[in-house]
Amino acid sequence: MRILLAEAEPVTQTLIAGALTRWGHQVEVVTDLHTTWAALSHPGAPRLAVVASELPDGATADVLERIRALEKSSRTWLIVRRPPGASSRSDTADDVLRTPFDLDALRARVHVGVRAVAVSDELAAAKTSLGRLAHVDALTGVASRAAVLQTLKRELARGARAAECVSVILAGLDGFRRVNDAFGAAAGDAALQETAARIVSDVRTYDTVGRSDGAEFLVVLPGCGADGAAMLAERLRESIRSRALTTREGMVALTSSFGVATAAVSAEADGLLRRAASSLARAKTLGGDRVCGS
Amino acid sequence: MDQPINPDGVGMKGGSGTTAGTGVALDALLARIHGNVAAMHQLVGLMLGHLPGRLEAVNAAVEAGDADALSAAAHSLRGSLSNFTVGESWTLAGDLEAAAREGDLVAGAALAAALHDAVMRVDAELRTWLTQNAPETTP
Repeated sequence: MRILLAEAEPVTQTLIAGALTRWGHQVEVVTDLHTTWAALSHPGAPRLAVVASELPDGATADVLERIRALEKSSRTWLIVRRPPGASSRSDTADDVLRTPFDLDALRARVHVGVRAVAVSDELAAAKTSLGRLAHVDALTGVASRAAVLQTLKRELARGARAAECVSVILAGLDGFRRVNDAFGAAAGDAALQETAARIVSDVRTYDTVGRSDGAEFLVVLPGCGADGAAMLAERLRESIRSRALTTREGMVALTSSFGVATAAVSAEADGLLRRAASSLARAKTLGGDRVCGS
Repeated sequence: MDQPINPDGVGMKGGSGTTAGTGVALDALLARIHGNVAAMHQLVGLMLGHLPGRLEAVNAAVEAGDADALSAAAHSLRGSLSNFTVGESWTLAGDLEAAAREGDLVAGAALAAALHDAVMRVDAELRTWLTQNAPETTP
């Protein structure tokens, strides 16, 4: 691990730097507060630091408080080295090392710091994954229902400010239940994944595709009118109809129905979605494999 | 006296114990660095190289009547000494730092003189250790 050693006293510096290097760490040495602040205040700072409690050019405690106050994504584990007779209490240090110290004590403290950094990183990664799961549909990789609805509301608000229309396409696979019944759930999942992929590849880069429900997808089209949305829906229909979907159980030929709705300025998301759903239902009632607009 | 464990040193002898008065505990330091005599050589050499400069900074501050500089110099010297001793010289450095911080340059001058003598005894102790623990040369 990269470790910052902020130590002006040469014997202590040599002792600690030598030990850390022997234990396989990459040591960066600084000798004053200004450089310590510079090293620890940027996003790529070392994740562990051993800092002397008394460095030249100012009050170390003040600098450490400033470092703690930084809102950084990666926090540095601070081990403060205190001279003999000094108090071990510290509001900013994660750990304190009193001199004269032995190498076992230093190694134990560094080990705790390394482990703490690893646990912190694991938690951050888990938090990121959880956050991502909330926004992404785990099966298809398109936006989750909550995320695409949020996008719709945001685009409607933006459209209202810019006097631009917003369209939505609600797409449903015709007879999808038959796929699950005939080929199994795995085939059904594969069909949904490929359908999502085809929709994503056909829409514009700034359109949002989300999984609305079961075998339905919602596409949000900012700045797109009724005609444009209908044309896109036709293209998607042809894309799904013209090539069978690939699953491990075999090729599955499916068709799809589409409900298209375009919002007037200042429209509400619920109303727009109801119209799209009504159009989709009409398309299915008429036999599927078609596009209906509201 | 049992020799300290020496995984890294080759053909080296052990250290000395605490010298009465200086409080220098080289055996203890050697034990804290896992008997690494080579590293000990480096640390002792480093300390001997820095002591004259540290003492000079104290003397210069006394002569200049600069209490802030004297406090800083005493503090720095105390920090260097703490790896080897928390005995007489370390205590005197702390007293000198305190006196200088309070602006008492009269007491500071006296303490500086006593500190100088104490540090020279530490210096001698360290040099003795180096001599007694010189690497054996191949005949």
